[in-house]
Amino acid sequence: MDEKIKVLILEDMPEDAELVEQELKKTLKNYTLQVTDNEKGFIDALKNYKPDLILSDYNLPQFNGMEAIKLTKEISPLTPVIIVTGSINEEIAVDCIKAGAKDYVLKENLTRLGPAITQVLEKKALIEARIKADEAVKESEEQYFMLFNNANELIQILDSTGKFLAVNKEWMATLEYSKEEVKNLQLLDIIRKDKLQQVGELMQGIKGGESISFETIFISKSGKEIIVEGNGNGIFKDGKLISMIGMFRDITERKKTENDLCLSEKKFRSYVEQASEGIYLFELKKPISINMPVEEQIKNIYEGYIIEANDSQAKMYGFDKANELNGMTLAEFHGGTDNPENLEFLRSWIEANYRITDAESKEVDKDGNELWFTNNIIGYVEDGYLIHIWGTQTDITERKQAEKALKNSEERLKILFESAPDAIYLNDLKGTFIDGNRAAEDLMGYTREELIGESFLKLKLISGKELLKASKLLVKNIQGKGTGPDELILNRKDGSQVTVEILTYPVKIKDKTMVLGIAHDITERKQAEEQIKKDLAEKNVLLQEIYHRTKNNMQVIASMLKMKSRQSDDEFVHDSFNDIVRKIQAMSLVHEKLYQAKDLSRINLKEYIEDILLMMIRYSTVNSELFSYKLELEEVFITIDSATPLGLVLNELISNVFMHSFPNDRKGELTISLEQEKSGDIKIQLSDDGVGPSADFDPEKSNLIGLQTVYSLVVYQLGGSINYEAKDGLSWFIKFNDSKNKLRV
Amino acid sequence: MKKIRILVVEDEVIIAKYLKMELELTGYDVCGFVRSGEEAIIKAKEKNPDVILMDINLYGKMDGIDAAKEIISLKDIPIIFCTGYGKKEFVERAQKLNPLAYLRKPILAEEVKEVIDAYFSEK
Repeated sequence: MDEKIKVLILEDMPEDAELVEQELKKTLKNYTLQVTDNEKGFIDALKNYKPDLILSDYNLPQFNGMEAIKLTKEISPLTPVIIVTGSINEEIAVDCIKAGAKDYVLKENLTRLGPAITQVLEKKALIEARIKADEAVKESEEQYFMLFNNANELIQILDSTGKFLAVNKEWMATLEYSKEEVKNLQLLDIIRKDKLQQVGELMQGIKGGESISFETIFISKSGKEIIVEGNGNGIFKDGKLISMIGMFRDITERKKTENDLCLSEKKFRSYVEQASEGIYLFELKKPISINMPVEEQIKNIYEGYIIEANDSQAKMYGFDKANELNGMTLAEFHGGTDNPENLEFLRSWIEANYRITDAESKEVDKDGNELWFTNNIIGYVEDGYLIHIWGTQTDITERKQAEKALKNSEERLKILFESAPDAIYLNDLKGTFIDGNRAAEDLMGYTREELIGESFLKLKLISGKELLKASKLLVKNIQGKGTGPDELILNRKDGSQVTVEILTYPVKIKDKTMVLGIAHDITERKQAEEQIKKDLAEKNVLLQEIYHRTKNNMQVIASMLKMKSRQSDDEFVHDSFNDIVRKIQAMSLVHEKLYQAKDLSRINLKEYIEDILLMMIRYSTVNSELFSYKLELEEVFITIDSATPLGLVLNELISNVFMHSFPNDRKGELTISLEQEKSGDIKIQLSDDGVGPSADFDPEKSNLIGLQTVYSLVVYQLGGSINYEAKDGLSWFIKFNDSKNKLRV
Repeated sequence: MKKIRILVVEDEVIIAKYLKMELELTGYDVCGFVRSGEEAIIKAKEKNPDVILMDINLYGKMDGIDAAKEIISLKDIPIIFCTGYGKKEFVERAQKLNPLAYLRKPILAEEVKEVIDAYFSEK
C-alpha cells in the first residue's frame, strides 16, 4: 500500500503500545500513528484524525473496547476495529465480534496482529470499492433519467406488441397525453391512418433487428398533425424482442417552412417566367474586387455571361427561349464594349454601390439591330467582391425611335423656323414677345434675349403714329381673327426704320392664345415704289410740259400765220391762212385737253367737241342771232390718236356748215350728238337744218380738198366710217372705234 | 383822245408780238411786253400802263398771278389774265385779285377790246 495508513491505538499501557507499534512497523510500510488512553481522546481522534484502522485494548481504566467499537460504528462506520487485549474470555471476544470488531488479537500472541491488520485493511478496501461502485451506478441512472425526461426529442418505449411502456415529457407535451393515459395507449392510436401501413412495415424491420430512420405523421390527442422524423430500435434479450425505443423530432414547423418556401419559389418562378420585363442573372468569370479601378471593373463585367434569364428577355433580342441566351456575354448584348452611353451608366452603377434604376442602355439584337432598354440592375457583393449581377429590363426601342423621329422633325421645324427669310415671332395678347427667329432678330436689330419678355411698346418698336394701327391688329387677334397683310414702320434698335408687311394669326398653345406674326421687310420694295411714284410724277410733269410746249408752239405758229396774213390784202390768202390757223387751233386744243386730263392719255371728247365748236364760233363771222346749236353729248374718252384726226374732221365739217348751210342770213341750227355703244363704237352725228348740199354733191369724188381729207381721216386714220344724209339739211354720221388704239402713257 | 396803254406780259415772244400787233391794230398803245413776272413789276412801275394783259405761265420763278398781286399792291392797275388752261387753282387764285377778265387763249384782240372798252366806258 502506497498511501499513508492512519492508525489509532487505544492503550493505557505505553509498553504495550510500543509492542503493538513494533508489529505495525513490520506490517505497514507507510503509516501515521496516534495513541490515546481515554474516551475523550478517542472521540476526538475519530472526528478529526479520521483513522483508517483502530487497534483497541479491551480493558481501560474508565473506558473499554466494547464502547470504543460502538463509538466507532457511530462516528466512522467504515473504519475497522481490531481488539488487542491481554486477558479476554471467549464470551467477550464473541460479543466484540458481534458488536462490529473485525478481529481480536491476544497481547501474548502479537505475531498474529500483522496478518490480522492486512486482512482487515483488504476487506475494508473491498468494501470501499463496492460503495464507490454503487454510488457511480446510482449517479449514472439519475443522469439517464434526466436525459430521457428533459430531451427535446420525443422518446417512447413500447413493448413488443406496441403497447406504450414509457414516454418523456416532450412526448407528452407534444401529443397532449398524460402519464396515466399513456399507460393504455397503443402505437396505432397515434399514427395517421394513411401512415399505418408504413409504420407496420417499419416495425417488422425493427423486429428483424434493424435500426430504422424514418419520417411519419403522428396525430395528437386533440387531432393535431405532427410531422416527425426519427429512428426506432428494438431491444432484445436472449434473441427475443422485449421492447422498442423510438426517438423523434417534431419537424412540423420545418416542413411548413419548407412548403412555404417551395410555394413561394414556385410563385417567384412563375412571376419571372411570365413577367413582360426581361429578367436576367449574369455570372462573372471571377469575382471582381470592389476596390479595383472602375474602368478595369467594367472590362471584367463585360466578360460576364448570362446564366439565367426569362423568355421575355430572350424575345427582346430576337430569340425564342431563355436558354438560348445562356453563356452570352454582356459585351455581346451591348454590341461591343465602347458605347459611351452604356459606359456612362455602368460607371454610375458601380459608383452607386452596384445599384441603379431606370438606366438606359443601347444594345443590339441577334441580327445587330439597335435596341434601347431601361434597366434596374443590382450587383451582388460579398466580402468586398462582386459575385454576380441581376437585373430587369424594359424594351423602350419604339419610344426611343419615336423620340428620335420627333427630335428629327423638331430639328427640321427648328431649321425651317430659323432659316425662314421672313421674321417669325410669337407674342402674347399684351404684345409681349415670347419667341422669334433669326430673321426677326435681324429685322428688329434686337437679340432674341433682348426681345423675349419685352413688349413692342416698351421697346418703342412702333412709332407713335402707327401705334393705333398696331393696337387695332392686336384687338383683332384678341377677337380670334388673323390680320394682314398690313404695312407698319418699325424702329430698329439702332434707330433706323424698316417698313414691314405684317401678317398675324392667333394660335392656341397649351390653351393659351398667342399671336403668331410673320413680318416681311418691304423697305426696299417701298423705296422702289416711292421711286416709281416719283418717276411717274416726274414723267407726268414732263409730259404735261411737253403738251404745254406743243400747244404753245402751235399757238406761236398760229400767231405767226396770222401776222403773216395781215401783210396781204388778198381775201383768198386770208381765208386760207385762217383755215390753217383754225386747224392748228383744233390740234392745239387736243394738247390743251391732254394737259388737263387726269391720266394724260385720254381726253374728254364731250368737252373737246364743245371747245372746238365754241372756238370755231369765236373765229367765225356767223351771226349769233341767226345761228344756234344744240349738243347731245355723252361722256366719252378717246386717245390722242383719235382725238387729233377727229378734231380736224369736226373742224372741217363745222367750217362747212358755217360757210355753206345758212346762206343769205338764213336762220339755222347745228346739232351735234355723241354716244358710245356697248361694243365701244363711238358715233358722232352732226346735222344742220340748212339748205343742204347741191344735187350733184358727192363728197368722195369731191374736188374739195377739205372733204376728201375728212374721208381720208375717218376711213384711214380712224379706221371708221362716214356717211351723210341730205334731208332737211345735211347730216353726217361718223362711226369709229378707239379701243384699238393703245394708251401711249 | 389819248390811246389806252397796255402792258403785255407773255413768255412766248412771237405770241406777244402778235398780240401787240393785233392790239395796236385795234387802236391801243402797247407800251411794252415782257416775258417774266419780275420784269413785269419793273415795267409796270416804269411805264405805269392803263391795263396789263397778264399771261399766267411765265418765264422765271414768278407766275402771272404773283406778279399781278405785287403790282396791284403798288399801283391800282387793272389786270386781264389770259391762259390756255382753265385750271381751277389758277382761276381761284386769280379771282381773289379781282381782275378785269380771265380770258382763254388763244386771245382775240376783239375780246380784249370788249373788256377794256367796257371798263373804261364805265369809268
